[in-house]
Amino acid sequence: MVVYTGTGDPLVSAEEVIAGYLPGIDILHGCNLTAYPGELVGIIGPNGAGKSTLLKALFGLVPIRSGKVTLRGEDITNLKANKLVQTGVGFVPQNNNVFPSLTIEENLQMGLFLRPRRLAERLEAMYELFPVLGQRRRQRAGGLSGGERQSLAMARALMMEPSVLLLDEPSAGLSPVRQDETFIRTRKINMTGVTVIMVEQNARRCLQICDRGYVLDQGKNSYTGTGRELAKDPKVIELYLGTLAEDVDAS
Amino acid sequence: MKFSPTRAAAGLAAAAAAAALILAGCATSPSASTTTSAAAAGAALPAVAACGSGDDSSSTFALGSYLPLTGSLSFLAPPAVAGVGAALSDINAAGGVNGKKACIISQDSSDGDHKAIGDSNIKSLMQSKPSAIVGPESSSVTHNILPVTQPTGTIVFSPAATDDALAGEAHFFRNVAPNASEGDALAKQILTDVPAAKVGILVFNDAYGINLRDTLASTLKAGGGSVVYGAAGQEFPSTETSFATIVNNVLAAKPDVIAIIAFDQTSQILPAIGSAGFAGKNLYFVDGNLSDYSKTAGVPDLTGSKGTQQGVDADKTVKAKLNDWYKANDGKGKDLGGIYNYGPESYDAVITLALAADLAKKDDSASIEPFILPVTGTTGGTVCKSYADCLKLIKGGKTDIWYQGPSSIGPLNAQHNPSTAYVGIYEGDGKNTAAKFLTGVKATISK
Amino acid sequence: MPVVVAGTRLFTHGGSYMLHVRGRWGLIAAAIIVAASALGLVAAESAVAAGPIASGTSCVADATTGCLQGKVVDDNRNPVAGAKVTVTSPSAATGSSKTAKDGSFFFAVTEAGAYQVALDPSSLPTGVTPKTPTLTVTVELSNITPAGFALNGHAKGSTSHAAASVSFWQLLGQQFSQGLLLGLLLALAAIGLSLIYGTTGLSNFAHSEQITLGGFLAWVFAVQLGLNIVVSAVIVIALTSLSGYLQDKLIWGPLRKRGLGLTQLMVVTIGLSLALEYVFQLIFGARVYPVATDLELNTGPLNITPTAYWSMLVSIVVLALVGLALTFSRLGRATRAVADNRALAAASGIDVERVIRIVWIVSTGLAGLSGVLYALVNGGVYWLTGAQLLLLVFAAVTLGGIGTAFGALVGSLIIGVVANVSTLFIPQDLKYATGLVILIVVLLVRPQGILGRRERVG
Repeated sequence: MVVYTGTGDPLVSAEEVIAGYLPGIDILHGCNLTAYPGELVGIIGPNGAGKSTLLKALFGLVPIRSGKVTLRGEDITNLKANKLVQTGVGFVPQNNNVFPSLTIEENLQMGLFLRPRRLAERLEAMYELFPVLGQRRRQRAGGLSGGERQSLAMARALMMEPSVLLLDEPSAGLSPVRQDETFIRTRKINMTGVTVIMVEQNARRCLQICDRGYVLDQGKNSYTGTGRELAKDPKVIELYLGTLAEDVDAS
Repeated sequence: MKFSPTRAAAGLAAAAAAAALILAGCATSPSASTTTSAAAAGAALPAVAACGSGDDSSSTFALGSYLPLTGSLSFLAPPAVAGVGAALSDINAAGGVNGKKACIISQDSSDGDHKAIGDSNIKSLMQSKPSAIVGPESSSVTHNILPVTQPTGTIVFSPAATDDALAGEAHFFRNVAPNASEGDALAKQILTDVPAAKVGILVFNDAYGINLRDTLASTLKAGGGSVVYGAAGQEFPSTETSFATIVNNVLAAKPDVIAIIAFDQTSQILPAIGSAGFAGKNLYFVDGNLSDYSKTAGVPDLTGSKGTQQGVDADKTVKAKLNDWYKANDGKGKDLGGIYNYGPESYDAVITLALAADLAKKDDSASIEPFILPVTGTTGGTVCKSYADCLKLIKGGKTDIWYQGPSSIGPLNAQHNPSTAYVGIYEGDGKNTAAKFLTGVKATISK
Repeated sequence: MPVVVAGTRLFTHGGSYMLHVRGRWGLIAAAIIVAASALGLVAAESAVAAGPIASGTSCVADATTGCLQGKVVDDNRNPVAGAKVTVTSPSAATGSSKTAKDGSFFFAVTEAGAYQVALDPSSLPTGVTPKTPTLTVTVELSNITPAGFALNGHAKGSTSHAAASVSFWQLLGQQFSQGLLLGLLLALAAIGLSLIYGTTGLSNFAHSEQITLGGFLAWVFAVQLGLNIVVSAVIVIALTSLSGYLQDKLIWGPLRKRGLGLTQLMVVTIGLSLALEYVFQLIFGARVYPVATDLELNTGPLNITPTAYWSMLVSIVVLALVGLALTFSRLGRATRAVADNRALAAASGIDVERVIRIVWIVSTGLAGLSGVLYALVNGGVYWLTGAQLLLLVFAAVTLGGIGTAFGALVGSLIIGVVANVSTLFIPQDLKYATGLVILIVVLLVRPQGILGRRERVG
């Protein structure tokens, strides 16, 4: 497995981000994050650490009160979501990540709303990547299973060929088998050159496939390193991974 | 003209309107414009001064005017305002009441849908201690205010409230025929035109409509006619805006004639009746809808249709007087536009009250009330036809005067209803502009 | 509505009784009536000596005159001319007259009391007989007393003027047509309401005022300025759409941006609705403004007016276009996407605010069209026309399934038809209540509405 190391200019960078949903109540108290082109970056941490908030702040869904987010060196702090999509950022929320009353094909069309001309070509590509979607293209998304929804959500985000994809807990609520499929697919997408920043509850599996990981605790970075380093770090194991972390080497 | 129905502008205007309504509701000073138009008034038709802070019924004939200056009945306010104003002008020109100029306290009664405005205004009117109140025009508003006015014994004299149920209310008087007399006259006209008529009644669910329908139906039945649609339970809601369904139902009952008892809904009912092919000459109207339909598209030819309306069709000089007064004062140059409804009755109500005060030699309701019936001729007396003439008789020592004014009513009876009053019967012309006056039926009011 | 006492009556006649009085008695009466109050207000009670009974072609009642009058008609409601009518007064004075061409007879009498009115059967055409040849009526002075005769049978070959029969099924059909018409017009407004709710979550109580606005603007352009109704309708749609654009830009957009809660927003719409109603009343007053075509007769299979057919056709075409656009166009799909999940729509690159603005424009335009057509087929518009429909529109939207455009259409048609057909069985003033009863029943069985979907969770 190739391990990307942080060299060259960062693709995405967040510096000292302070953010929160409600005025006066900060959830992030100064977070830093860097993703280099082609990296798969994992964000782990206990419940309530602010992992999802950080991801949403990057995507302009949570107002950033202080700090700075850049994409290829350009300031994208608090840019509106639809502008970010144009600049090459894709986002897959954890819940409600499909349009239930739209068909699969319509869902995908919405993913490419800004570049309608390339619709046929991109649909083709997605149906290749997710064959199950191709088979059920006329079916309403509201009737899909959890795994199928997750696939559709990812496919929708990929329609615009983003350079960086933000995934919010893609494995949540899935069976172990489906979780594995999701991680493998994520890695596969990453291998095509898409930088992926994902938040994961399943810290152990996440660190296994990630190039680099960030451990967040109480709205702040507590540990940073390559996936492997973190998975072996006794403190990280003790605090965030538990004893099952032993299995990391086994796989 | 650029038409810009922007929501913002509309919203602002609405806010302003709402504020104005609230202000009108809270104002303790007179809210009508009678006071502001003094400068515009000519010598012959002077405006009437609003009562000052010390001018109440203890020292002055302070007339409370409580007419629908706003709301759905506001179109009825101008002739009544003119009647009240012209009467007070005449009174003051003749030397006032008890030697002192009469003054006016004007408040807006609004309509029954805006009870809050009316309630607030009657309270502030009552605080000014009026000698008596002329108004309201709406029966439902009258029902609303009587609980406020009756405990103090303040006289309420309505020129237009026709609800039968108001008969016999304490300290309440009126010089207009109650609904029963109109329904009676309408039924007789229908039976004259069509013996044993099968009548379909389009009546809206409102005390006015039901009241009128009931008397219409009972006289019809007594005279050999029948009601085939529009009996109790077959009213339409007063807020209805779609009438084709209702017309289908009434026509299915195979009526010879249709009586429409409604207000402005009638201009939507008529096209539906016309579309269904029912002849206009077989339609009958009431005071609420005897209107000009020449500009209402889709209305069938109403030639030969008939209608009834309470109140006298005042003669030319009275109409001209009301018109001129209104133009010079509250109308600010606009005339009454041909609408004189309840103008003569309003005029007479004021004159009657003033003469009663002259006889009582005091200006408060309790003193005035016993003299109202005698002034209207209940106990006979020397006939006089204007305030000046009547006042001369009183000054000459006469105590039994009989004022006969333009409303041409008979003396008030024990129920404070006029013993006789005119109901006009009108017939539609070929242009649907207006029904022409056919005959005046003097209805005798039994109670 | 208040208990009120009178409506407008625009007197155009001269005001002199003289003008309209015909005949000898009329002239005498006219001379008297002007001074009626002076001459004998208590005449009704005073005993008037037995006086003459005069017949004529009209009669005016006054203080000393009572009118005994009526008509003679056969069972086809055709007048019978030349029938001899004789009246006998309480003091045994008599008078007689032959009915005029229109079957009418008039007697002016000066004595109050019970009169006998007799119809001479021998003066009637063959085949026609009186039901009751003699009537006894009580005559009052200064009043009219009807004493007409309805006869059995009719002259051979006379055409019937009696009202035509309508069978139950015919009536059912008529009311069903009216229901369809109402349903389609409701649907135009309901789809807009549903779209606005779907995309913004806002229950827009001021939507009804867009209907009223459409009606009033139709009056301004079609009646006041005399433009062709189609041209007027296009202008009205443009202007109501503009009002939608402006209100989203100036009110709803900024309020959304400030993150105002939906409950607060709903209260704002209620306030706006009331404010607009009173603005309409301020500008137009309380009367009905006719926006109708010339008199048209009901025709065709649905037994409605040509204008009503056109209105239904226009509604169907417009509703179909809206439906097709929502299903197949990119913007339509984006609208549904925003309705499904606003955050995700934004994350997909859809400019949600722009979509919402377009929804406002289209919705208010549709409501405006609904107002034009409603005013056209129902004879006019007044300041509360929209307010009357608001509850029905909301019921239609809820019945069909909140937020689904097609549900709004289905709900509207059901409400329209049920409300109108129900008048065959229940009192007229409960007709709209039936629609709401249906709503409650359907929601008990299908809480999501007829076409509303229950989402699969997870």
